[in-house]
Amino acid sequence: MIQLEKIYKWHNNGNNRVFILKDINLSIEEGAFISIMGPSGSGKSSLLNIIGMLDEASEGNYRFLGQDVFQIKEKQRSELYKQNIGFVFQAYHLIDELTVYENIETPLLYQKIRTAERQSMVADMLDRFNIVGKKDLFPSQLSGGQQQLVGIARALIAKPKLLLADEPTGNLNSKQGEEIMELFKKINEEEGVTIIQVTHSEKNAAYGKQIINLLDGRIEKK
Amino acid sequence: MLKNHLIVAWRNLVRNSSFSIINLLGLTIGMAATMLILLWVYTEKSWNKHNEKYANTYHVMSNRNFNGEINTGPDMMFPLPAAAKAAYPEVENAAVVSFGEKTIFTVGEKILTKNTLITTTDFFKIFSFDFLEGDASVINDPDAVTLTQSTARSLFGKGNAFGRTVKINNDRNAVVKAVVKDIPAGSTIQFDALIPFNPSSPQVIADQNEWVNCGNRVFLTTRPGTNIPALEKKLLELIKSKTQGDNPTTRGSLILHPMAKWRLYEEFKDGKNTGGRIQYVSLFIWIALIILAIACVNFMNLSTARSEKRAKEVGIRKTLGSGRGQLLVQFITESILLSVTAVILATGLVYLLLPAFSRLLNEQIRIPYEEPMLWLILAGIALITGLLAGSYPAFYLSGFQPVKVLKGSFMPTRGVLLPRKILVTAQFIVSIVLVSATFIIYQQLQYVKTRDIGFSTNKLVTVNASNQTDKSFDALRNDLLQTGYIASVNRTSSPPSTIFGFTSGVKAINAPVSDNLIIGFMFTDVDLTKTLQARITEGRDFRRGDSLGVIFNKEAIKLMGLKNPIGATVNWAGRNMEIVGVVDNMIMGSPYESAAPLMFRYEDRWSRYINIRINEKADIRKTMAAIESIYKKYSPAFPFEFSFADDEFNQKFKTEQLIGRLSVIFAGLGIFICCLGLFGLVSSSIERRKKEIGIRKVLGASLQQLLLLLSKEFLYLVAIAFLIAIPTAWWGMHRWLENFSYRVVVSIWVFFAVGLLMLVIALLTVSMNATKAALTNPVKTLRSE
Repeated sequence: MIQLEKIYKWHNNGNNRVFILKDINLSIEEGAFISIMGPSGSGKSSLLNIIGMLDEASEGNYRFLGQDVFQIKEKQRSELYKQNIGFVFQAYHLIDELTVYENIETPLLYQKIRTAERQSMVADMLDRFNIVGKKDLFPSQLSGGQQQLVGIARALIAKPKLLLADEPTGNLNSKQGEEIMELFKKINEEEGVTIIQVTHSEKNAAYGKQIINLLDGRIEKK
Repeated sequence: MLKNHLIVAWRNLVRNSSFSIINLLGLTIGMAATMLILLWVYTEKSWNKHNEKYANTYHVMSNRNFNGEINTGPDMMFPLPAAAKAAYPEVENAAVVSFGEKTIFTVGEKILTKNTLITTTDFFKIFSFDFLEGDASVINDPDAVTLTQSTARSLFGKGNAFGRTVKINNDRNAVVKAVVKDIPAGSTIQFDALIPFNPSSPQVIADQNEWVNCGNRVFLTTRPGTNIPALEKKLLELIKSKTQGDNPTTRGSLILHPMAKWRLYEEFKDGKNTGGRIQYVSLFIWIALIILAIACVNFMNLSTARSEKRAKEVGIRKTLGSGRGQLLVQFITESILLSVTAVILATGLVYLLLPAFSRLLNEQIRIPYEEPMLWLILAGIALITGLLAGSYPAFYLSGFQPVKVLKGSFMPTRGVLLPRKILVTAQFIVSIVLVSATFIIYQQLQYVKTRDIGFSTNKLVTVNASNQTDKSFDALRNDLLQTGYIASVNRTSSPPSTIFGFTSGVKAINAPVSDNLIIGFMFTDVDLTKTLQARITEGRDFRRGDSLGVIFNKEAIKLMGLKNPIGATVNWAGRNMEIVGVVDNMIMGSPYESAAPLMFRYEDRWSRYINIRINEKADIRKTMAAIESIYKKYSPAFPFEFSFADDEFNQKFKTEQLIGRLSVIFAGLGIFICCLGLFGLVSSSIERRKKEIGIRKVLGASLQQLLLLLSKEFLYLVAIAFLIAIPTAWWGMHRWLENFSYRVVVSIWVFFAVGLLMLVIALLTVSMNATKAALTNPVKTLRSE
């Protein structure tokens, strides 16, 4: 599903080149559940952003579902992204001005799905995550765990093949974190959604089927 | 999708109510001001449009050549219209119309003075009126009179006026054979009553062949497709063929002044139609656009100022699959929603302010609801403002990169503030120019108002004279003086605020010949200087029986080049007269011009006005009651009408006073909207520097030091604006002042005062916002994520 070859990422700081990622080679099959670990500044999030097409590498090749991500046109990339990738953030990043229902619905608006279909999709999702009663509340009226649940629901609404999560439990207490991890596991196993998560916690990383350790922008060989 | 956009827009507005209110307020006020100005412009531009032949109606103007000096005037000869119509088929209709006179109408006990026009048969074919009773044929009946509805009411009450008899000028009876609807305010042709020229009257018979002396206006309509410059030439040829030798009229040229230009292009210079009110109309169109632009700039500023808040939303939407285009549409939708709301609020505001605005301008301004253009323009203002004001924030916001804005807290860099700083500086430039202009307009007004006009208008009252007052004037004067309220009485041919006429025919004997000498003149009798409190500089005032005496003002003596004026002989209209006195210059015409040369000619057989100087200590109310009762005793057939000289004099400042008032209002609005913009800029800058402020506080900075730190950044914007605005204002006001020969010298101190004022206003605005930030507990701002 994902092939990364010789991925480099750097910033120019005066005359110095500061490397964030160095020579990343990675191949991920559909249905994988990968945890990326590493200390602060090791390049975890940068790698995730490149995989998620939010950022470009300075050098290297990236194939996603057979398409060369860095070569195709912006519009095609945007389509590829919209159809296949869902994002979950540490700080949830829900839109404050929208209700739970509307937040979950938003990705569908960008995919030109008809109203009736949208309504049934959102209703299904609310049902599955047990948040029907909260659909008219605004994010500020929810607890952190509930907000992240909405964030995951929103990421999954468009039925992506890949779910990217940047420290999804970082702002939650351990019980809430566990619930989210259980949910990830379930999604991965039952629906075959590929998951890549960045985490600090050994315990959460263990939910993944595979762990990748990053140090100073390189994948550490085990 | 659109629904989602509108929902977000609406919730954003409601949640950030203080921001929304500031933003909406600025936009609404700006739009309301623009709409008011545009309504005024519309009113000005629709003058005379109620006439069916609007496009083909002309007023014949003559460029008279007085020894090389061209004077443009409307006076025309009586037989011209009939002859022109007969000679040239392209002249469809042509009529003589008098300049308008006050006519006394008597119905039983009721005596009223009404403005009357005397005219010939084509009048109703040229100008359009709504006949309530009778029809256009009334003009062919010399014994008929046409009244407007309100004149009919004031003469006959609620009863029917049609067919009733009314006495005209205590002389003859006429029958009301037509009543027309009141003439709209936006019509150049105005009358209360209309009387036909009587073709059998000796005066009219004599005038039929009078091709040199002119005393009326001539209007005509042409057939479509007429070559107007050619017709102008043909008409002049016609006049030349009827006159022997040449005169100022035949030496000059004719102008057919089209109806569309009567209102706004009413000034002529050197025989050319140069402009007039249009200058003010264009000026205010610019002001309207500038105010709208300031309001838009403000809107952009305040919207971008909130980018920090919206940045996160942009980031999230992009990760959820939104393209930049969709975000652009979203932000523009939001700004259009705001601008539509502002248009609705502004329309309401305009509706509320319109009566006051009409009163201020002394013009009937109404909203032309029936005009589809109005709705188009309103929709246009809403859309264009929304697009214009929304585009910059939309492009700026939609350009955010999600990776950056979602990572921790996003803060715009310094460079991002630059365009906004430029915008705010531009706003301040405009405001400073407006404020300086206002100051100078008021200085000029004050300067002219306090000018020494050579006589005193205080407690000087002017009463209309009549043939009855002239008949027993000595008795009337004695009665007036005996009341004890009155110091002096005198008669003149025109009120002291107006020069009776101008002549080029005065020749001083034994003096160098001056060809272009045009002297204003006025007829008067004894006690002229005593009544007006004018200053005799040489010789004496008129005495009883000075029938060949004449008094000049200093300016006239100077222009005539007379060394020893007293006793010198001048010739005027074939008569030799002796100069008995010289008075100091009096400003009877425009107070903005230098003193005109004036001649006072003794005349004790007739007059138009009685000037009455009231004693300094006399009670005005009692005095006026006494004057009225004496007037009624001697002049029972005429209505008692009076005016105070100071009121009349103040009339001369009407336009400038209006310009002054309008500029105060619009300068005030400009500053207000400007400060809203500054407020927005300051708050976003403070948002950006929150952390810095916190650190400085922890390090021990005092409130004053922080305020200075925060203000500095903005005060230099005001300083730059000041440096650009002052030369602009100086140049603009210099040009305006050139319209007046009596004008104030623009002093540099005005600009310093304006600068100081703006500085104080800007400081207040900045510190209002900065104080709050400086007082915030640093623990809050420094808390890390």
